[in-house]
Amino acid sequence: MIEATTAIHPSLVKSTLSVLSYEFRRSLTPIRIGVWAGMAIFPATLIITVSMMVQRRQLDAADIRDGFSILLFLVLPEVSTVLGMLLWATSIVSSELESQTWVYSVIRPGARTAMLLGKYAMAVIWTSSTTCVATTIAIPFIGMTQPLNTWATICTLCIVSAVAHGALFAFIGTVFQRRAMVTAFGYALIAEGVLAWIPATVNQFTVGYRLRSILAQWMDLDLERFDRFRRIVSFDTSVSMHLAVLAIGATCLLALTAWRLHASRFTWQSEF
Amino acid sequence: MTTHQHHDYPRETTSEALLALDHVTLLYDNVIGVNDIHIELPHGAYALIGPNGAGKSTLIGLLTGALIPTIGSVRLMGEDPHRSRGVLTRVGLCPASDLLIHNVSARRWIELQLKLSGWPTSNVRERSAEVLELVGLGGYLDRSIHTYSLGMRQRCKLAQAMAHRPQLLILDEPFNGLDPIGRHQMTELLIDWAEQGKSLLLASHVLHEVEQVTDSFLLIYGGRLLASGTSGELHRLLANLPQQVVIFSQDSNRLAGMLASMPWLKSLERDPLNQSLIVAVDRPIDFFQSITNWILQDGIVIDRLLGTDGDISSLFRLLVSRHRGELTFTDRGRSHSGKRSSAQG
Repeated sequence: MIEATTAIHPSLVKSTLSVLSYEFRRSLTPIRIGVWAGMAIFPATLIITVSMMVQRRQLDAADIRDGFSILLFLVLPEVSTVLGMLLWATSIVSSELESQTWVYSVIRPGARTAMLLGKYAMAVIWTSSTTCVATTIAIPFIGMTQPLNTWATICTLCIVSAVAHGALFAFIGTVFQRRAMVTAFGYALIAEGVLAWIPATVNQFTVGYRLRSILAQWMDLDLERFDRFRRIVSFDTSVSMHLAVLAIGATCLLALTAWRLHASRFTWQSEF
Repeated sequence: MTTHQHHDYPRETTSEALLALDHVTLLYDNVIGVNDIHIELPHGAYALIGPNGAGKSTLIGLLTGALIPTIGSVRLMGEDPHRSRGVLTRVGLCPASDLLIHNVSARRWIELQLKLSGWPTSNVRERSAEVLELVGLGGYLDRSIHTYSLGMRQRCKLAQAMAHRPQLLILDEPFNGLDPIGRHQMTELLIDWAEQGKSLLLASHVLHEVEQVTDSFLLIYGGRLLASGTSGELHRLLANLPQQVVIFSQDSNRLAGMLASMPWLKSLERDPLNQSLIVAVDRPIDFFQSITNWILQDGIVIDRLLGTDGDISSLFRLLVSRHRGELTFTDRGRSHSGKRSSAQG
């Protein structure tokens, strides 16, 4: 007979890693791998196509570097990451409720938080890996100066964007379980799609503002030629401060989500 | 048999109890899930019986801390299951909802549940295979759960509930989807579990399914705990409650005359089509004694008697009527007001 030889109080780290490993193995299906490949190849193809069109115009090296840095940023850490996290992080709880498996997490102490963090980590890894691969594919075709610097900056921003947006969407998906995807999409459209591009104080509360400011400083972009972009970034606040704001924001949102999961009662089953 | 009513007296709860609910009410907005349930049970095997929508699953949700009572408090093995989740490591739950999980084998899914229950990684693979073998899924360990039949998924749910060796097993409609052989195997498994001295709470809407597993029943209906006791007490309670009996007799005219003079007769209706009498009686025990005497002494021929005994819907209707004070409870001929707090049958 097999016995549990340790105390029956699993550590959160161990449980989270167990959920992450379980979710990773579950994602290794032909369909999911196909979706992953599509999400990596499509944005890379888009950027390569634009670069091939632009190369005919014979722009100078600085224009190519700054212009394509902004394009890479818009396509990968912004649009692709937001869509990826929208898809995977928003449904952390609602997908469990739909498959009627949440009840098995509820019955195990600490499992709710482990499920949240494990699935969140999986969403971040899954989405970041597609955008980082897309960056890796696209940059050699652009023919820009300092390609390694651009690659490292965009890949880091992809990961930071996934962490920040993932926490936001996980929170929205937990608070609005029934209309999780619609609400999160609405938020992404209004906050990150509209408010983030308004040159006013309101855009400082968006993830996009912080990411753009980090890009501009790390890449030392000459934004005189990109006036619209210049008005919605900040050079006054340091990169470390922007990163700290995003890290604290993501941690707070995840803590709030975990609290919400513990404090709320869930629909036990369909008959209610 | 104890019947439970609106004004049940509070009882002291102890940490030794398997479960203790202190006047627990749960509201889903303006819908009542469970209503003023007050009970304390020692460790043992119990069947929670009630028709669909009676509040069984809500009660299980409360016991496992998934639901929070609007009023009152819940203690499971001395702990509040919502605040002190550590107690849940001693509980195995098999919910009624189907397992709609994709792209994962039963073995891997149970391995995760074991890890989340605190089992060391080195043991989970072996334990997962062992428990799946126990429920009869030994040959299908690595098959994806979504390819299982309903009965196999039911066994898989039971396996995860038992895997971490809990002290209390809570099963919600575990016989759903099982074929007769599966039902028999499940029954044997649960009998074995109870015989090991472990506790069991088995929710079902079919009385005869659970009678083989345990002799202790909790009857729930409309969110209220109507009665608790053993099978024998249940039958005695039924015998003491007013009920309707249909008699098929060749001597229906003579029998109607005899019945009409009885003090316990509430109503008598004759169905000329099939020569049957529909009789409503206050004291079923007296009725059945009289019928026996008439057969033996007066030669009355009875072809068939249809009563409420064994008919769970009728039983619940009777208990609800009594609960609302619409019926008078008779105990060996003595009559008590329906508004009394509790009565021993």
